[in-house]
Amino acid sequence: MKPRVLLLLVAGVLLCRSSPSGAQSLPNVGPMTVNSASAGTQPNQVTATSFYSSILILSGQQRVIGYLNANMPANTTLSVKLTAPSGGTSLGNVNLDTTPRDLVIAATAPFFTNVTILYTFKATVLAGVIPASSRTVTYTLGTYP
Amino acid sequence: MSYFARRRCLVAIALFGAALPLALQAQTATQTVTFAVNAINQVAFVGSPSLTITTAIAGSAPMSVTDATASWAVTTNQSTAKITASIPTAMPAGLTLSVNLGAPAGATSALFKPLAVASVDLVTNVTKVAQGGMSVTYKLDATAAAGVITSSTRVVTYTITGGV
Repeated sequence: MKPRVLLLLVAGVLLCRSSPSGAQSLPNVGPMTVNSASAGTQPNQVTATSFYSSILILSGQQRVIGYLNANMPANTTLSVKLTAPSGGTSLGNVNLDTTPRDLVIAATAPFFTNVTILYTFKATVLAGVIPASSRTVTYTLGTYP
Repeated sequence: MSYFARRRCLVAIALFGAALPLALQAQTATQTVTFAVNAINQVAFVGSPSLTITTAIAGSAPMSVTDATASWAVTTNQSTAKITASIPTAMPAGLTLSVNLGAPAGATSALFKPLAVASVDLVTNVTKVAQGGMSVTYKLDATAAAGVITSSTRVVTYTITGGV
């Protein structure tokens, strides 16, 4: 075998190595701080936006599932809405917890080239004061339907 | 298979090998979201009440008048806060302006309290509540010694404080 061909094979094998966890880390979001209200109404919600873009090799349609590593504090909700110009059906704002929940269905490869991730954090007065806390949102792909 | 055909095949295998992990890695992604809730304390009052004493029963002090056209609202995510009120200048001699605030759920109203330059507690134990449309009743009392007083105004300042 020619040395150049062998070099190419070695490069391919090296490129095949994946990270130990196999998970891609997206940029951190926040802090999302609830700090205002109109008298007589619940505190104002806050939102934060993140973006995701990737070229995926997909076979058929997929669903995007999301869940948290721990439930949110009482009387607060963290919801997420994944949208893209084409290639899938967003299920709108979905409240996140430790149960995997569908966020997008019928997703094809074009969906993942331009995804907007919109987080909304809400707290009622019953939540009280909450110091800065974090949750890890895990997104996974699953077959659809 | 010719040399060039073999080379094209190997290049294709290598490229596929390079792309495959991208697909596999992208099947799970994580993102850390940080959030917080600060202390929130808001009160609002609406209305422009007006009170005029005009009558008396012979032998008695002039009759008090009340106005309940105003209302108030509160939002707090803290506990045991209180609502206080003050006026910037004292009332004329012989004249007393009092106010009674309806209490939100779980709180306690002090009922009618005379307003003064010093703050006075009107509602206590205001705890984690968002409520509006609560009553505000003003009362004006005058003694005969107050005499005739031309139209005057006072701005009442309400404050929510003391929550923990």
